[in-house]
Amino acid sequence: MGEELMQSLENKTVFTIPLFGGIPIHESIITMWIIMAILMAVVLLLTRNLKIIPSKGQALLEFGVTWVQDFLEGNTGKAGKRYFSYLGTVLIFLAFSNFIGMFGFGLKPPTKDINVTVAFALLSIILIEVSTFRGQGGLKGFFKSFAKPMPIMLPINIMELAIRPLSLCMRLFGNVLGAFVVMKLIEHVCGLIIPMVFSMYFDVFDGLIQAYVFVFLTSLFMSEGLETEHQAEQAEPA
Amino acid sequence: MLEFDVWTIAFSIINILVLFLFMKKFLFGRINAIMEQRAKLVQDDLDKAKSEAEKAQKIRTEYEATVANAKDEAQEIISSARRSAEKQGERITQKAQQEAESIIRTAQKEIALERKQSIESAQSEIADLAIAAASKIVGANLQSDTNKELVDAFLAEEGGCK
Repeated sequence: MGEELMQSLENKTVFTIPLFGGIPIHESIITMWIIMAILMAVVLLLTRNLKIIPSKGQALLEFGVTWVQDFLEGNTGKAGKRYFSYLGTVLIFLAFSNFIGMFGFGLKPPTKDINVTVAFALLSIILIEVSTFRGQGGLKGFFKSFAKPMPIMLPINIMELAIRPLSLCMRLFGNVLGAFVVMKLIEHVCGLIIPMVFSMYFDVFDGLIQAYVFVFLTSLFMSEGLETEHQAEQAEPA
Repeated sequence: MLEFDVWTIAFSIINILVLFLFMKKFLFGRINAIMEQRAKLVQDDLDKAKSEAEKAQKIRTEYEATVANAKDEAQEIISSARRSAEKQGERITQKAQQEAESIIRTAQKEIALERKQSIESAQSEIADLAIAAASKIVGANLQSDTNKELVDAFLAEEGGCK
């Protein structure tokens, strides 16, 4: 059983592209492609002919998109508006990636592969720093933001450059891997019905929570960098 | 389990960015565009309704002013017509009165003239009769001209007394 489990935990290389001395393509990348293909097809189908007077499906889709944007605006304020489509994409991508294992077909959540969560976290930290750079109005403001709220925080703020993406990627990876291991164990003990019940928690609930937390934290970190713009906005009308 | 692989990270980043660009264009772009379009349409409709209402209000005030004007004018026309009618009526009455007065006056004149004529003729007849009667009574054939003068004088005296 232990061996079987360890085998399913491994990031298998499905094939190797014979370039630059062989580029290995992991199973997680293939799963991502599948998820992307499904998402793209669904989005194209749903947004095929949008109308001013929406159908039921369109109303539901609009409600979903509005919900995501309102949730992000609640974290970053209006200043973060231009990053909403990235954060929204990450939310959808992570949500689907986390509970893809539930559907069977031998698919495993790509976020079980630490390399994938590293990619998400790297893009998140780049986004956080870019938005801080833009929000603080250039290089000077960007460097000054490291001495906030007081200069003594400087070393901690610099360390956060590494800590934030590390915590983001490890949290996601650990949760999904943990859920995956627990589900494998439950399936091993009892193969019928009971795994479905637990799957609702470990795959769906925990998966969605982790996607939510990842995007929530990213947008929260961004809001710190965008803060001066907030205050300027709030100060103007008063 | 924890082996890092640069290629997988790179492919993941490419995957995320590709999906991001796709979603930006086809999901968020399209949905936000249609929602903005709808918001604009609603705003336009509201603006239009507001301007229409304003226009209607303006037309109404204009119409009310016109009606009030027309009422005033009608009132004026009626009162002026009444005034001229009254004036004309007065004039007609006056004229009729004048005419009546002049008719009465001529009639009176005629009556007086006739009366005078009849009195005169009666006087001469009476004189003749009186002379005839007197001559019969006296039985003498008096000088008629002298007698006549006498009678006339008498009668004139009598008539003058009356």
